[in-house]
Amino acid sequence: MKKLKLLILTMGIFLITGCYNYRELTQIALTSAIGIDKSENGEYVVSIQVLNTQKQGGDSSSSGDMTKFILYTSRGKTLQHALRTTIFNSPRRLYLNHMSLLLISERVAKEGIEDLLDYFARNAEFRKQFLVVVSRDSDPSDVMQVVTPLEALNAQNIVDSIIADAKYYGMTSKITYEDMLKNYLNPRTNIILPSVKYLGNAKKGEKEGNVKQSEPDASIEIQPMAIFKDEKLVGYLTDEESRGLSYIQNNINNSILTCNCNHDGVFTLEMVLNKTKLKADLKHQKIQIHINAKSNIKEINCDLDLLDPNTITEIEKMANHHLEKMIQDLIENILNNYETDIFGFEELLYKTDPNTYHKLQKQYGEELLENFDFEVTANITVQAKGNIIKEITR
Amino acid sequence: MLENVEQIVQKIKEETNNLDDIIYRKKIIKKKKVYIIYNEPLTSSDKISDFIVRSLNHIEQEKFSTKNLFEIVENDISNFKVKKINTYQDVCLYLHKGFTIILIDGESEALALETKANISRGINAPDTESTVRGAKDAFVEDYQINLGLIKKRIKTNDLWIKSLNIGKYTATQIGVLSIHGVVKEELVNQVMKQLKQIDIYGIIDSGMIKNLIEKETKSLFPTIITTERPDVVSKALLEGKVAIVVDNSPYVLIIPGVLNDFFKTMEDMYGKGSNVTFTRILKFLSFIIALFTPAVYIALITYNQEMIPTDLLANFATQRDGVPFPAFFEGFIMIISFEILRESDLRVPSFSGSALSIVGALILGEAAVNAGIVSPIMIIIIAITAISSLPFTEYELINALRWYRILFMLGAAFLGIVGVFAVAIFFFIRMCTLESFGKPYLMPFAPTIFSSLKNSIVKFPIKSLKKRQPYLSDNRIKERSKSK
Amino acid sequence: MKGKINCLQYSTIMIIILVSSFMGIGVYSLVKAAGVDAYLSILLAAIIGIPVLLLFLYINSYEPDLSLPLKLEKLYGKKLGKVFTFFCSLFIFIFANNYMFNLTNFIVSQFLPETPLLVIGIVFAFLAAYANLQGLETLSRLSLILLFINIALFGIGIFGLIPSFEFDNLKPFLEFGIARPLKATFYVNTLSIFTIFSLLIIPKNKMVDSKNFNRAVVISYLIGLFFIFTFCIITLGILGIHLASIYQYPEYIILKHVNLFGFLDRIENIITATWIFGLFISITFAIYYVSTCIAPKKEKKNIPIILVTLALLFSVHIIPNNTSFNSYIYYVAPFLKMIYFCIFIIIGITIFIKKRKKNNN
Repeated sequence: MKKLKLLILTMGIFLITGCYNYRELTQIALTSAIGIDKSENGEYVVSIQVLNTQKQGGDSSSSGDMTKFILYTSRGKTLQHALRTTIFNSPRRLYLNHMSLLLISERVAKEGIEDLLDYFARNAEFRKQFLVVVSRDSDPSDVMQVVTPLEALNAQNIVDSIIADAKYYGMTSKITYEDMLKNYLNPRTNIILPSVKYLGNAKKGEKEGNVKQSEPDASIEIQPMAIFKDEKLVGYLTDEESRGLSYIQNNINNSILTCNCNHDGVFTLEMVLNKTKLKADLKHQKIQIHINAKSNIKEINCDLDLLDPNTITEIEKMANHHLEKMIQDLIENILNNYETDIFGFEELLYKTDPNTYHKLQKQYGEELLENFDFEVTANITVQAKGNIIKEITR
Repeated sequence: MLENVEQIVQKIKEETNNLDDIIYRKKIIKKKKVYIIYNEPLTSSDKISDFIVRSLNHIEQEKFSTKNLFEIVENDISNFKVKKINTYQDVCLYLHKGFTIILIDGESEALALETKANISRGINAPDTESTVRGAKDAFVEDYQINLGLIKKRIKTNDLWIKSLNIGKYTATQIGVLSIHGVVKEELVNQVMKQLKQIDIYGIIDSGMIKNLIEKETKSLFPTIITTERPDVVSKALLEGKVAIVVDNSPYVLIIPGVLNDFFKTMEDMYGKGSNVTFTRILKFLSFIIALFTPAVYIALITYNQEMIPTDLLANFATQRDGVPFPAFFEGFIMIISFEILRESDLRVPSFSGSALSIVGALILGEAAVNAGIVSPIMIIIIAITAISSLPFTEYELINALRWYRILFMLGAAFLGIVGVFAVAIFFFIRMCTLESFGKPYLMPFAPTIFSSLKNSIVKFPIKSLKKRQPYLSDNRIKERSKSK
Repeated sequence: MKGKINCLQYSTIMIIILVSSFMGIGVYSLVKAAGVDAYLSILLAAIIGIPVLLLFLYINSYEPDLSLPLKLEKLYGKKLGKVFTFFCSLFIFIFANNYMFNLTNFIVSQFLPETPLLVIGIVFAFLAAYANLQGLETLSRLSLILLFINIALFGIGIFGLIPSFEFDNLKPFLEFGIARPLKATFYVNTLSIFTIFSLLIIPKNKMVDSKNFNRAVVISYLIGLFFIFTFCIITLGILGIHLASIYQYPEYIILKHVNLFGFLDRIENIITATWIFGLFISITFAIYYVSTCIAPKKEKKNIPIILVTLALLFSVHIIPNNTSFNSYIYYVAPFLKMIYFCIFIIIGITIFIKKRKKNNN
């Protein structure tokens, strides 16, 4: 009993002397997103989106009047300085562990993101699972202040649309901070990030009224992937290239593929059960990309006889050809114009045969991949053509 | 010692300050003074007049010469339970036990005849340990009836009872029951040794015995099982435990009691193994919930907010907004008010119970939230905790949980989840140190006894439980034919 | 029965000591030494550790009734025996400091950044002293229970991590040949395997079922190394070599990936209980070791308290920050343990010679 008393006593003393890390929920500002920009004089301009957790008024009917989030902006020579001095505007200290989105402005991305990578990795306050997005042609603060319909929280809105896009279209992919860091630390891979763009009227978009119209004044749009070379942004892909990249990285679960017919008109396939296999042959300096996919015909605007089994083969052929060309073009474009390996081909070479890879790298240096042949083969099987068996014509 | 009858009667009268309740009847049989003394409230006067007085009258009329009077009385009295006593102390003891004393002048011995009045209630259904199925009888205050309820179930010569009287004024009869050949003798000896060491003015209930012989006075957790069900006692005896029956107490003590015993109920014997296992897992869960929930909540909400999903955390934050108290204090208020409510509910007469529940539910729940004193989530946490501490029949266990719950909350308020872990380590150290009469408290788990794990948290079908717990009995096989 | 433990409890202490001496510092050292092939080095170390294990069993079987300090006294006489005991306990005391710093530093860096190391140290030091005062029986039961909990949490963790495990991250296999993993086995051996010698403090005959002793030791050795191996391979498989080499506690960071059934995530703090419990047992046992060395025959109540206080003060004040701790673990600690191991080699040889002499006579 004496010891128990002693324990309670010690605990009591500690309780009285103060609990060092004690933070009541009413003392912290739950941060959902951070946007990073740089001002003209090289200072960081940080926009912080904080959840509004103030209790709504007595009756529940008035709860719609409150904004779901609050946006703070602050400046500083370093990120930590800028983030901490948010306290100048806000009564609460930022709580960063629940952050779900990091928005990097184009300017910062072009200047280099190494410092930023270091900061977020070092700080134990951050979980490393938040998404990183480049805000294209627009200020992060503009993007972050849009009040979005359906999902009231702006950051969650962006995260959800990127996830939905990655799942059902495949233009972007879900890249967490840790993935980005991994790609950066590995000398053989490069960073790719999805991007978003701010559309519409800036002044009207930040008002709550934005969501009270069926067609909001301002909105956020998901854009294709931004590509980096080392720590710097070098450009953006197009929609088609972006999807091609997802095919190569085997990131596509479900997507659609619109191709031209041989004659005229277009058709659209829904790709399901996609599987991409990469194979490197260092001896013959060849990389094989083999795409295996199943698909359903969703829409067909060509003059084709769907009752004929040969037509299906023909459609498959057209689709294969389209996909192969799409990917070939993408690889050629990236390697020639941007000279950055965003696909992870070098990593593939390294993992297949490290010794030969090192030899080749010594031999060719930066232009290693340009000496490789890329063999793209697609094998799309059409499974079903929907509810009807033939084309609707009179 | 007892030769001079008048002197003894005088002495009793003196010591009892001429108590009216003690009746002295003087009779002269064969020219010898015979005193019939009894304690009126404890005795049934029917029995006295029917058996004793009538027999004595009969003896008086009979003609005989050879034998002396004492032998004749002893022989011919029609009362069944006759005890020879030869000291003054015994005379007083039996007098206060409800016996009738026959003193014969000039004899060194006296006779004590059992004439107890039936001042005990009948056998009722158990109040505190109700089961859906199983026997519906419970112990009462009478020692003999209680023994009878057990003996009715165990019909063997091996049921040994060692009895003794404890208490300077109460001289309460205490019986230590065990099945010879099953129980480990050292356990019985240990219990007897503990009992003999007791030096106290009186024993009112078995609870006092419990506190007096419990070695682990430091511990909050009970190390002795109390029960009011004879079937529970019988089962415990068959397992090799020791039971202590105390006169005037409807609760019987079972020794030893380890933690796992408090998770078991009598019904477990009757249910299917798989279903019982489910119930026990529920109990185990509720044990953990009752211990940890408020602490973990406090830790999460004041230190480790990263562990709560974002949406939920936003909800919590909104609910906590405007509550002026720290989370620990908020929880503490609620726990204390719940404990007050529970205590009042126990003491309050049943007719005002509903008023109490209205006050509890309305004031402490709805109104407190609306007034902004507590957050709704805290009400939920406390409610879960309160419910989870109820499935245990052992009241002491619930009370022990209470202390540890507050200790865990302190730990959480001090270091967050790390504090909870630290208190958990302390809790485990306590539990590991604890022993119930030499048996480790966490018995089937630590140290692990694999054969006993079959009936711990999980319960195997009754057919596969062929062995006794090795720490309770050397006679491991349950079927008698195999063991002997 | 009094004062006796069984082999199961003994094995749990052994497993916990094996695993927790590796926690927090092991993966860091291994990755630094062996790169992607770090997990292989554990397999190799398991093989290399077999002679060590045999030596351990050999020393144990000499005078099985006596604990280590008494054994040494019998072996070398009173004075020399005391010197040996002193060095053994000195090393263990240093290791206790390491555990202490590892525990407090981990907690401070991940959970309570604003809390002083000393406060957390005091809490755990108090608990360690308290557990020590209760004696070996309590300690062994405690380790048994905590190991059960640890295994359950470990299982949850592994189960939740399997979806994010990528075999690709373990490639390329043996890029620089076997040399680097072999070098890294040095770290596994020194950091983890050599710690089993501290178990010599419990004499073999204290076990109720001492005939199963050898089997129990071998099995727990394998289980302990299996845990370490799983830690290492999962860490590498999830983070990849590049991330694994930048984090201070990669084994902790991977737990942030735990996701059970799609909704039960963010539970890394709960799973981390394995670390706290494991390191706690290690500290407590080290203190038990040293206090038994100081007073091998009778129990002295204040020795553990003094020792714990010293360990706490040393760990907080001697090691200035985790950078120097890391370099200490990488450059100094293995060699200290090597010297520690050498003491036991000498003891083993002496026992061998003594037995030989006896046989010749």
